Amino acid sequence: MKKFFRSLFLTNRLFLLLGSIALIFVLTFIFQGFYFVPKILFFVGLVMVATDMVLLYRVKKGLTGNRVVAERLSNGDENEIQIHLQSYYPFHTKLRVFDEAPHQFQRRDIEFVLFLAAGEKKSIRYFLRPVKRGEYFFGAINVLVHSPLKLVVRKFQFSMDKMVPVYPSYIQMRKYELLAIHHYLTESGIKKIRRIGHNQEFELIKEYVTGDDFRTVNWKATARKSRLMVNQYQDEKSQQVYSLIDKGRVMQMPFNGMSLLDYAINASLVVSNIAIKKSDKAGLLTFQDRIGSFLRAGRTNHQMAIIQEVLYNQKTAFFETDYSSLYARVRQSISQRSLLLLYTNFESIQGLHRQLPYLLALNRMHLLVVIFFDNDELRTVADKKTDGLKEIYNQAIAEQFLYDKKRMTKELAKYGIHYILTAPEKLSVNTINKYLELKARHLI
Amino acid sequence: MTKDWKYFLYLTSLFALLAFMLLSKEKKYDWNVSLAHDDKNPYGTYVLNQLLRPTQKIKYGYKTFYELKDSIGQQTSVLILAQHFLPDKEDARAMLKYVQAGGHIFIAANYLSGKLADTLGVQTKDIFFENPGHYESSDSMYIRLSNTQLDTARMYYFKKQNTFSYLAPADTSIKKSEQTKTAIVATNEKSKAVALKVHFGKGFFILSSTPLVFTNLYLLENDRSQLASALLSYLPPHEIYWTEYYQAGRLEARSPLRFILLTEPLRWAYYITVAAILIFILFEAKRKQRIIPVIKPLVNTSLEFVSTIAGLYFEKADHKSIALKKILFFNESVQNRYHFTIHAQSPHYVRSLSLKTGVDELAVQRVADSIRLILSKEKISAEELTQLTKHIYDFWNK
Repeated sequence: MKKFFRSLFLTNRLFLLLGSIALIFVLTFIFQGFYFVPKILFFVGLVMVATDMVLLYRVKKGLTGNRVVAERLSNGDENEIQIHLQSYYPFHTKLRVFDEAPHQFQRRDIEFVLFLAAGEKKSIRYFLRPVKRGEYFFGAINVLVHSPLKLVVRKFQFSMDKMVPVYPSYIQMRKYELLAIHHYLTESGIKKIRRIGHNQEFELIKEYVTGDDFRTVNWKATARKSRLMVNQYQDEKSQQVYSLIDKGRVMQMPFNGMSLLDYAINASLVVSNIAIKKSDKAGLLTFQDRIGSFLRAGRTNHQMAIIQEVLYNQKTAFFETDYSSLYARVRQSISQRSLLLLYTNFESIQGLHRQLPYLLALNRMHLLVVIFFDNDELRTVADKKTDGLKEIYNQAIAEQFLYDKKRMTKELAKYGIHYILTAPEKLSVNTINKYLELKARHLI
Repeated sequence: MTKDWKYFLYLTSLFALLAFMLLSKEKKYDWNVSLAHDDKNPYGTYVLNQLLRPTQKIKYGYKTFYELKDSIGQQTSVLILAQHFLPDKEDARAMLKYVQAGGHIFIAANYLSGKLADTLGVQTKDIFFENPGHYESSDSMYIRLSNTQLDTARMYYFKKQNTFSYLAPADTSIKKSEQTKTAIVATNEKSKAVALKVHFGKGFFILSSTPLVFTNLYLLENDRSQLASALLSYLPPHEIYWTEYYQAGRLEARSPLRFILLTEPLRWAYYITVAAILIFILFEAKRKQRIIPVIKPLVNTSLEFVSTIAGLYFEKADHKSIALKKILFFNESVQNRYHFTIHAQSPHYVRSLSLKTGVDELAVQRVADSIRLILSKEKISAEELTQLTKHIYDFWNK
């Protein structure tokens, strides 16, 4: 009985019916007669409600359904969620589906309306974009079933309480991995890199594309194919690529809901993967007021899984960053000259100047790339049409900050430190480009 | 579920506390004059009712006499107890007609007025008002009967405040109807009439100016009930219709709900609506999906920071430095985007920039003019800063 009451809901149509019957009663009072009309309507209504209940509850199984979610969700990406439903009712049904997404999404509006014919199967697809790593708990799928009468509703619940972890963006990782394997990185917005310098190990003959060194044209092959062909030589292998991730205060700032730290984590996962696919060794170091985790560079297949786990488990209190401890640790633990991708953020030129000695020291031993972020929000203010003096002031200050970022790049360039200044969304692509560029230029 | 239990417990204990407080409260008498036949408070008439009932047939009602007149015959006497007896014209006419035809009406009221009192040539007066000295003397006053067949020597004492009113011939007793013949039934200490028997046609009125004599307070103590009994005994031994309209008003059908519940279709409509609302509350309160607690998202504070810094400049009204920042950023942007490095002070600036960017020469000229003007001045006005901003915006949005 309790179960029955729990699953029973009423529709607006029922209340509309009751309301109109009450109204008709009032009308019969006004016109003094035909009292029997609303009375008959009332009892007919009662019978209809009873019929509707019988229709919905007679079929015990009624409806089955389940939710299909990936075993882990990818942070910062649109993850597909599928809901499969099958009706066992011998009539057309209207369904309202409410999915209880994990709290972190703050979505209270995941509702779908669909119609199922007798015995029909249907699926619903929708997408969720998590912006934080961690454990996500899905609730039940609630389905409200209406019979054709649509007076009462029966609620079904499926796929209760499922935990899904959200990992650093493996979707991006796979995407760029495929590109890297197929040498397609020159496509899809990833820029062409002119190769300077040579490595002597021959790899393959391929078609000439703009940017290739024409000294490498293989004339015999060209004659055979009657197309320009060039020799390609193997890249340098087994170079070390370390992602140094700042977990400090400056990385807390969110863009599009996701913090800079998570952007950095996603990007380092992608770059590490590509590095390993390119036969380099990928390592990891995270730090804030002290060193968090350190993972020695390696290139076994297992390395990627370890990197993923380490990145998944990064927690931070967003303390002020201590670069001296970073320098000490790098000096102590990384002996071979490596590519250091330092993910951090500087909001002011003073901030940069404070850390510059450490950056210089790091750059002396290794190849350092400082990666910091363009502030999209300021960009929108700077491009906005202003209205009033106060807004002009705001705009000028925003422009000042943007200009400061530019100055920082110049400052870094002055000291011969490589940098990437990028919008958070384009971080992964830009980092890959930089990696490939540096590799091609044999700078590591 | 455990949480639900907690709330349930809270609510029950709250109700228990409330009940306890209500029950433990000392019972107090209500000293309002109700004159109601079912009121056990001092100024109710429950006792009178109890005394009359065994020997008398009584009916109760809350109707005016006018409404009543068709439902009662001559074999019924009418009893009216009220503080203020103010029947309207129709009411009074109906009473006069009824009494003229042989009916009997007993009216006890502190104040009598209107057509009835005028016709009978009677008015009520206040003993305190007429004799100012009365305050000082004792707080009680006696009433005694005037009919020599009864014990006229007996004095029934009452509180003065409760028997302050007396009956006197009306000042404006226009032409006293010949039909009226008045006999004094009882007087007070000052020999003023407090009860009269007024013959009218075939019947008579008994008028009393002391309705409180009939209340519980005086009927229970001593033998003062004898006065009430003597007064009431003037009525013939018929059935009594006791109407409380003149004191209590219309108890029934006072609210529109009463009307709705008495009318069948409206009653249906009402019950259906109420039931629908209850069902709605019961069913709509159920959750369709689980509660999602509010988690505050991370906030990007860079804009706030910008407006704080801007506020500092704004307080100083430092237009010039703001303008310089804008010019710097403009130059940087042009340089970055078009690799254009000619300085704004240069004579070729406007033409070259226009050619390089494809922006109208006029628009470039305006920007250049603003920049030159600002650079040449020590201090600039807000107007000039606004102009510069506008021209730069126009330049970029050509």
